[in-house]
Amino acid sequence: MLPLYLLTNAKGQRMLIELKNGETIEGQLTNVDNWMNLTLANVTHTSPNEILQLPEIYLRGNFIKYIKLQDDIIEKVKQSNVQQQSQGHHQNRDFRRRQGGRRDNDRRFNQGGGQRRHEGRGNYNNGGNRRSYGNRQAEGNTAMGGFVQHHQTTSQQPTPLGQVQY
Amino acid sequence: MSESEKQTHNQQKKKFEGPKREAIVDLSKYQDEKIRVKLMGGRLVTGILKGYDQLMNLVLDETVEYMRDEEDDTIILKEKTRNLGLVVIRGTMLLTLSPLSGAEIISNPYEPYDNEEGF
Amino acid sequence: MPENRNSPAASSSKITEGEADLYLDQYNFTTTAAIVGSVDHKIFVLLRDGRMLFGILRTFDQYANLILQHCVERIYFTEENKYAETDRGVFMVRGENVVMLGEVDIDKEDKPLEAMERISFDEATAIKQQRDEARFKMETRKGKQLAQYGLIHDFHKSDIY
Repeated sequence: MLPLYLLTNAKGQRMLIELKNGETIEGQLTNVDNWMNLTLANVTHTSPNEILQLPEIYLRGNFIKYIKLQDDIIEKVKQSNVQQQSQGHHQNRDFRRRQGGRRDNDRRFNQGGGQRRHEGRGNYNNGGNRRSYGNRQAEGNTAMGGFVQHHQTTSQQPTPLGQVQY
Repeated sequence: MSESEKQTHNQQKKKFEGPKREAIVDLSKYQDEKIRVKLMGGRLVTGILKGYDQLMNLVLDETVEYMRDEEDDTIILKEKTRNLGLVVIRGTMLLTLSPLSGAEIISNPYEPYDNEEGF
Repeated sequence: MPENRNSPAASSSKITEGEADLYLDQYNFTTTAAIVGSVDHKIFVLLRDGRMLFGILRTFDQYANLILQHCVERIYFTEENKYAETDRGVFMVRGENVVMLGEVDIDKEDKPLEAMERISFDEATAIKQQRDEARFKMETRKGKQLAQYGLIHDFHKSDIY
C-alpha cells in the first residue's frame, strides 16, 4: 500500500493539508492524480492574512508539506484490502502490477533467499503483509504489537475533537 | 464469473482505483468565471478565465495582482493591488486554483475557529 | 548476490526477525528502500520547517513520502530542559520536506523526557514561533549584507533547518 494509494482510497474524506508556505487547507477530498495534485470541496483555506471559505480548490501536489488524514483511514483501506485478498490471488496480482515498481522491489528483496518468499513473515518479502498489520498486532509478540500497547499507555490521550490546534 | 461475483469485483475496482494520470480538474466549468490563483514565489492573482490547456497554462483577463508587504513577502496586502490586464499563466508555476464565486472571507483570522470535523 | 547464497538466512528453513534484519544489512541501500526495515516501527522525522514528528511508519514510496500512524509532534527546548507534545493521528508527509528520519528505540525514548519538564503545546508553539521569527529577521539582514558583496544567501521561512 503506497501512500498515494492510501490517499486515492481516501476520496470523500475530510483532511487537513499543510502547504509548504505554512498555509493550511482543510476540506473534503474529491480527486487525486499521479502527482498528488488534489481537488477538494468545501474548503477552509487558512493563511496568515485571512481565513477563506471556498466551495472547491485545485492544489498542486508539489506544494504540499504534509496531509493530516482521518485516524481511521488506514483501518478503512486495510479492510477493503482484506476483502480483496479473500477474493483470490489473481486479483491481488493485478493490483500489484498497477502499483508499478513494487513487483520489482519484491524481487530484489527476495534475491538469494528463495525460501523467505514462503515465510509469510517480514515486511520485506511480501508487500501484501505490510498491510495486514492487524494480524500482526493480534499476535502480540511482534515488535509492532508491543509498541502499540506501549505507545497508548505512555502518550497522552488523543485531544478531544475540535481542540487540536495547529 | 457469476453475477454476484462480478458485482463484488466491480465494487472492489471502484474501491481500489489507483491515482489518475489524466487531469483531475475540469477547467471548462470556470470558463469566463473569476478565479483566484496562487503562484510559485507567493504571488496571488485573480482574473477571468478566458482559456486553458492540458498543462494548466491559463489565460486570464482583467487580472488583478495583490501586492505583498515589502519587508515580509508572505504577507499579502489585500488593499494594495495592481492591474495586469490580459495575462498568460504558466501551468508549471501554478500552485492553487479556486473559483472566486462562493468564496467567503471569515473576517477575523486571529480568532481560533472550530469546525464540525474537529481537526 | 552470490555471497548471500551461503548466508545463514538463506540456508535455514525458518528465520527469525533478527536474522532477517541481518540479512537485509548485507545490502547497501542508498535509496529510499533503505527505510524498508523501519516499516511498522516507530520512527522520528525532522521536517524542513523544523517540526519533529514521531510515529509508526506504515508505508512509503520511492519519493520517501511517508504514512505515519499514531503520530506525535514534539517540540524540544534543550537549553531550558523543556518539551511539549501533541497527538496528530495519521500523517502523510511528502518526502521532499523530510530532512532526516530514523528509528526510535521505544524502550529508551521516554527516559530523557522524564528528566524534562513538559509544557503545554500551545506555549511551546508560541515560543518556537517567536524564535523562528527572530532567526528569520537575522538571516534576512545577513542576506542583505552578503548581497552587497555579491554573495547569495538563500534563506526561506519554510526551510530553516
